[in-house]
Amino acid sequence: MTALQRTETGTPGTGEPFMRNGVAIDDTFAEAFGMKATRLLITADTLAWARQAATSACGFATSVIGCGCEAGIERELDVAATPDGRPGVAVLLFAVSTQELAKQVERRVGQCVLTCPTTAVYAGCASEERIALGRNLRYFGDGWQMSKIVNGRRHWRIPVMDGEFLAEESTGLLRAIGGGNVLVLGRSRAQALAACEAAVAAIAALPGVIAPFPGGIARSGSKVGSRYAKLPASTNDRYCPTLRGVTDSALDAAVGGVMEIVLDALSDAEMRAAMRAAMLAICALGAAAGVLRLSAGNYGGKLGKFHYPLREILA
Amino acid sequence: MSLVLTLREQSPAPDDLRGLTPRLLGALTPSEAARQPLSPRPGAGDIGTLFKVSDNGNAHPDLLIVRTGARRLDGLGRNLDGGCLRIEGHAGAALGQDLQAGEIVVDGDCGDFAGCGMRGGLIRVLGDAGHCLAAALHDTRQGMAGGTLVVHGRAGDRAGHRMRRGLVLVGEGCGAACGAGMLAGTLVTPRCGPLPGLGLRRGSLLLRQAPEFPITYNACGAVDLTWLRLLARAAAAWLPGLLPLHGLAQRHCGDLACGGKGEILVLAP
Repeated sequence: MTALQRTETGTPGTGEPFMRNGVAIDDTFAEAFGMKATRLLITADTLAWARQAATSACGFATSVIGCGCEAGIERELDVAATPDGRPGVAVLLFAVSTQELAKQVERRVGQCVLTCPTTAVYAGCASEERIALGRNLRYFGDGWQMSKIVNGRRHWRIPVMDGEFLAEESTGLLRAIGGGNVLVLGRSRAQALAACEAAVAAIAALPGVIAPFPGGIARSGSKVGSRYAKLPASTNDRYCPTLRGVTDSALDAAVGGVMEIVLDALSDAEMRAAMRAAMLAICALGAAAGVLRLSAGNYGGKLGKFHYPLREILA
Repeated sequence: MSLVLTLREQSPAPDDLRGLTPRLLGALTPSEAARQPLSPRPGAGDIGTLFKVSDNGNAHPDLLIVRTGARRLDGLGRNLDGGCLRIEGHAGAALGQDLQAGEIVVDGDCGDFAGCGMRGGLIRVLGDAGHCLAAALHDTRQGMAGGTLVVHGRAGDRAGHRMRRGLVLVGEGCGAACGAGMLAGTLVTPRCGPLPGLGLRRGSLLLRQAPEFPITYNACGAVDLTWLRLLARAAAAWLPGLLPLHGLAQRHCGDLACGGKGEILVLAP
């Protein structure tokens, strides 16, 4: 029996306090939304350049609220796992609509992958529904582009200054889930951050999921709306330690810092697996590492189709 | 079950065999299949007059086996739209003409104009092919328009003539005027005869040995093409070793008399 199991208390759904290794698990749920997503495989002569292209393509993609899409590196690919036998990186992109996803894919691949030395880009998921990948980027070839069908899939060879940029014609469109989350309440900011870092490391090994915020962690959780009419979202004042005492705070006096892990996943099962992995990693650190509570953001269940009860997932 | 059609000796040479498809015959018993017409054309004879029909006991209704022996029947696999047609023996001219989908496998050689007008599917010839492989017929503007055509042996002259789309792999080499007038698509062979790519508009002719280039080609120098890596991995499923797994080649663009948007790539060893 591990130390983590020895300190478990409470039963989901009974209203009893639910503790894991000294960490209180709130009786609440994360509320998530249906999104459209795709997976791209970016290859290059070296893993470093593939990673560079992927990092650029996933830049400024933390939240659909202001970035148009949420994106992140899913995993690195060995040469045996890529279509052209070169090292590569799989990235996931999520958006609220097919149109927005198509726009973001085209812009990001056009500006960040096409421009990056030695790269090529392929669809990383199979689906009947498709969105353009190289279909429109090919016109950069100014008439010198060539189409080639390999294994029944059309690719575009676009001449560039280092040779050719190869882009598959289209990529699959997937129905996905965005906005899964875990709020980590720590005794101090540093302890909350360390717990989140452990959670992000645990998630990184899982397929089909990304944590799009910087380093996988958001320190500025938001609520819907604002006292300013033009703002669709504003700071989640109930979880801001500096506002304890002047708002309807969700924090007790012991909490010194709160961080949020936001997750996007390709399926419900992958979202649950990621949330569970994150919470297990945090609880493994436990109260001894300054983790006090785990909670989650929701809108009362009225907006999002997908609900992820923390206690049920962790049970 | 899989039907086996064995060509009777002394039978007349038919000119239309469109009735020999797994889709039309796959669900029938041998006696039912024998009563089916050789083609949808009015007045076409029954399959049983030309072939002895039997059942080989394998449960593969999508597989039709035709045993031709030493004779070469023209037009086998014409308009095939699914399933697998296996020719045990040789095939005559126009093998897989206008093939839409499915697979044709020939154990022996095939005649001229194999794959002409094919739009999809796969043809595999384990022996040699005749002239005008994947080429345009005399009364058509373009040759092969899709799919994959694999010849393990050699192909004759004018392979890929006015080919429009698709992939042709020839394991041991082609004759003269290989890829002449190609409109697009890809033809891969280790070596070829004189005047390759003459009048080629777009499309790619890939060779392992440098040919005698027409004067309307310009050298572009050494290139490293990711597409070649992709193609090599796909081609390895049919002809391992035909393409090296790296993407290095010498590129020659042309035919400059026809726009110069095609290429002959001489692959690095």
